[in-house]
Amino acid sequence: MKRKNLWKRMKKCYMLYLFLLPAVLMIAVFCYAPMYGVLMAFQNYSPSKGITGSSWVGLKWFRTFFNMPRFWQIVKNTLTLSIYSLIAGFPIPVILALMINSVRNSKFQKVTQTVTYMPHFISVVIMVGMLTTFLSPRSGFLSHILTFLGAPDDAFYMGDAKAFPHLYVWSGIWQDMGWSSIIYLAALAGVDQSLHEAAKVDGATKLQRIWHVDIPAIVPTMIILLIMSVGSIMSVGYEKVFLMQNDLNSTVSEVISTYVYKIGLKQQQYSYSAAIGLFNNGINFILLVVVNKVSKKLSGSSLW
Amino acid sequence: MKRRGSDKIFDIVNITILSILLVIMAYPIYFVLVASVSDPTYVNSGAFLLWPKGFSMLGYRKVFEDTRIWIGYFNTLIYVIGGCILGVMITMMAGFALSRKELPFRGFFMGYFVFTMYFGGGLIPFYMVMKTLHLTNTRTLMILISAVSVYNIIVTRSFMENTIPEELRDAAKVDGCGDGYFFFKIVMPLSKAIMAVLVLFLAVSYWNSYFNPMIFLTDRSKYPLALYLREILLTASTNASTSRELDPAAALKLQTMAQVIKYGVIVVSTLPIICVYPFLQKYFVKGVMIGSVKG
Amino acid sequence: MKRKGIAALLTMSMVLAAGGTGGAVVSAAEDPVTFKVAVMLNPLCKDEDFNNQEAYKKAEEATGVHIEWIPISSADADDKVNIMLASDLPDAFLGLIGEGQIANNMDSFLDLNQDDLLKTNAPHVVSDYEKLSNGLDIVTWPDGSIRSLMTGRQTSYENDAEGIMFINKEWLDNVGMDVPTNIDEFYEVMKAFHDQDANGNGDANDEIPFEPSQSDWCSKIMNVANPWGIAGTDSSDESAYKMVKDGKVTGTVNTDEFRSFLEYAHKLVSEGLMDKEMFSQTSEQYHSKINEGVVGCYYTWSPYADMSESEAQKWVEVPVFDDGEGHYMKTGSQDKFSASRTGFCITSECEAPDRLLQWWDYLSSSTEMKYTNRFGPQGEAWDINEDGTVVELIPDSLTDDFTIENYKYTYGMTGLGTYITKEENAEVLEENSFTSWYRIDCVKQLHEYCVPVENQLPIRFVDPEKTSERTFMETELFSYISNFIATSVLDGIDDAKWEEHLSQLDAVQYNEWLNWYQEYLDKEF
Repeated sequence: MKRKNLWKRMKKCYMLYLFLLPAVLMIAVFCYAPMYGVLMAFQNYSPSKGITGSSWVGLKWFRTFFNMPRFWQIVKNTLTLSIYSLIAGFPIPVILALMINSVRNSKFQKVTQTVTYMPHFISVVIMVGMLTTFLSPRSGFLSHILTFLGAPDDAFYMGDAKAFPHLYVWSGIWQDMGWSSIIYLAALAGVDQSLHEAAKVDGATKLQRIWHVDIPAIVPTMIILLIMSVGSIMSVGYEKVFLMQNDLNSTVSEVISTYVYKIGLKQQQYSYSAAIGLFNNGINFILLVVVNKVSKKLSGSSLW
Repeated sequence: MKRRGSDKIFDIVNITILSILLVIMAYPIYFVLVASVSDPTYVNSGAFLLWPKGFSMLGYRKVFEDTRIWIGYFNTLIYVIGGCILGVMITMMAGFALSRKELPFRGFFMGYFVFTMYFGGGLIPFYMVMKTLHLTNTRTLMILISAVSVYNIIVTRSFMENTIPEELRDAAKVDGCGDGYFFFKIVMPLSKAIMAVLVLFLAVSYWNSYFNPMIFLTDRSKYPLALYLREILLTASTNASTSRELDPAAALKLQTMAQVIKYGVIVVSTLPIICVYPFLQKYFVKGVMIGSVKG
Repeated sequence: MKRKGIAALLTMSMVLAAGGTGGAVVSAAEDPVTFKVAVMLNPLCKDEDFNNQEAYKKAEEATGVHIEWIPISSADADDKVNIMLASDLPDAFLGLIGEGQIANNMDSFLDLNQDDLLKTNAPHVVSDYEKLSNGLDIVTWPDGSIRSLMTGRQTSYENDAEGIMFINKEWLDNVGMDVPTNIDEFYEVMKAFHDQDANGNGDANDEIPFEPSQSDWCSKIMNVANPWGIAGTDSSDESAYKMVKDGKVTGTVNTDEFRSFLEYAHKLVSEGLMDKEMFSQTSEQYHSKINEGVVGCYYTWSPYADMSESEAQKWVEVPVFDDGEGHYMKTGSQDKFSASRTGFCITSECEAPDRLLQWWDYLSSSTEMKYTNRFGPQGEAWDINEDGTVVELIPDSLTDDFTIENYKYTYGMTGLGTYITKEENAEVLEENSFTSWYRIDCVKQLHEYCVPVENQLPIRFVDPEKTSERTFMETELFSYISNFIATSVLDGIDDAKWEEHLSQLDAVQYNEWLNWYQEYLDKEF
């Protein structure tokens, strides 16, 4: 009885399934077809032998990873950077979007939007290059400004291990806040203008309208993005960290991805990198599932 | 009266903060522009540059002489346009389908998509699959490869869930309007903001993508701009010791050459994509009046 | 047709004349055959069709071997090659394969030792290798196989001394001092540079007396340890973490000399005599400082490669410092082996390896052929004197946009050419290429202080398992030591820190690492 009912409901939605089909097919070909590669984490993989020809080593690579002396240190470094980025970097684009959205002069609004979005296009190499030059204790103008604002005269920011997480996170926020706010701006554009008009009639101030009209409109988007950010807590991209790394800050700047990169650079450790990647993403995925469940209970918004 | 007063304070604070932000954001961009017409020695000193120092157009001259840049532009345009059209269509349809709560197995499909954000087979198996499909070294693959992004689908779905009210669909149903008609005639016009976002996300990801072209293209005449940009940036920071095949004097010469054109190439290769934004902007500055549609 | 025949005849006689060993002489009469060869494309190369190069034209005529080149830009090489190893093997790789790739994909590369493939088809190559002290062992894996052939030069004198310290003579004159000869004098000179307006621009505060840089290949911090008898065989810091003396591998970073060096370096940094940004700056920033006229002393290949001729003339070479106890050393290796042992690799996909080997042997058949392969046609970038020595020349066709470097990488393969023995090395004359000549002249002053041959580790392939054992140790060890050096130089060091350091070294397996090399030296694996 129930089965028949389901079939009926499915038939009713045939158009929706047709809509879904292209995406499902593309994902099948581009993601699921090569998925067998996950197996190399349990092998001694060699490209020439392939998955079928390489020998099996069980959990050897996972053990190698857990047993390395610096394991906890690099996990800690990774988490420090990603949690800091999440806490500082998540609310700022939201606030920026709300601020831009409530500017009345539309020219100024457009200019702010365009300008804040531009740093996203500066490649990381250039960005880190600028950071080191601007912060040079000898001639960097940013150093001079900070000294003027009361920082010690000979502060050496790029060489200071304590400054590293701050530099990493805030340069990232600088670069991406405008870009990340776009999605919220789009959600704010979906806000029914008649709600604003009605609130105005009721005598609500701008702040009140932001609080009662704008924010509720973007909360679902925020929750979805937050769930996804929590689900990538173990992943800190290697490129920027690697470029910012030097002999002085290596105790705090060695993260999982840079470690994998270095091991891979010396010799092709496919299996080892695959195992570390699998470990990372396993944790990420578990976190995602948990956060998703919590969010479903608390707010009703969830990924599935 | 009180409302107007507090609103005024709000506006002043808001505009002041945004203006400061504007300067912080704009300076590094301006710096790149100034750097592209300055002598690299001054650029790297870290001093505050307000005007070009050691003015020279050599960097731009070299860039414009390089035919690879123009071939790269042409290819990038093909990939961006193709990718955007395909990507927006697929993502919108999938996002719409997944936003309908009545869809059976909705959760399953979400899981199907989200799983791939976390688990993948790695580069070599991916390459093997593409090779079996005879897609390596083709422009078709370059268009297909990043068209579907799970992140975009989720964002689209969540947008539609919140902006397309259930009642609207119910009302349409009562009028005997099928899902197809509803999607193309009502949902699409209401979703200009998210479509603008998708076009932006896709255009930018295609514009900047160098890794896939590098792996899958062997024919250099199909190379996109980003790949050339990357080659130049890499040479600018080449270290003689890391390149076995290069003697130190030659490596240095290469590095100096690359430094001269570096900022010029960056300007030439990013300006067009930055200019896309103002065209899309109008779609999310003004809100859409859903109320009027309902009425 | 007729012309082709004569050319073949000519080349045949050339092969015979130069080879001596005779061996397999191939004629163009053999069937033409085509091979796919993936090749490293250097950014300096202006012509991607390698078949336009004289050497390959001649080789095709003589051996009937046609090459279909697959150029791979050096920036993409690693990823692309690994994909090729997994899916589309070409017939051979030129300049793209490293030791690790062979170790991990042994079966992808043809064993040239089997059925005496190499000996029958490439007699010239074999006779060149046999001139080495360890003969063919240099390319032989522990299992007895030969998976690659060599490219480049056996030795390159100019490379032996790595980075050389130069000091600004104009600055010295301005402060009225001489070129320093030991660390105390060096300190005094740096102090004078710092305190006075050494560059004479009216600002006494913009001078950076001494500028090493971790982002530059030859200016790294361990160069500064040379006066204490600590020197690597190459310019990487890591190579100076151990040294070989009398057949024993000894540690350097746990010695009192090392501590003295750290204290000295700290003194320089804390008094502003050595730039602390040496640890953080990018290579671009570093080169800008050198060109800004604010640096008094630095390590380099040659000032003529860094700046204009008029500026470069102001710099003089600093001799090796004497610490009074005869400890002095110079980073670098005497007679350093500089060929690439994995330059040319034939893969298991190749159906006629004998023909491909004959083609490679033809390119190695005489000094003329080798140099044609290296630098292009005879009489342009190189020539042979009456006495048989090779000499480098400057071709006429150069312009501002097409320099000598472009020429060498466009008309020849430079480092990817066939193996050139020490005896065949080209001479560089002052009037032909001053920059190269000047570099060689500078190396001459320091050469005897570089690590002598008997204290260098032998070069051979080892079991991939053993290599991977070492690599895992190194990622942690090197990261610890480089961090220790940097923080000690910046913040100073005391007894407590030093003791802590010694116990940390145990924790990061320093002794195991040294032991690995000892066993390698003793041929235990």
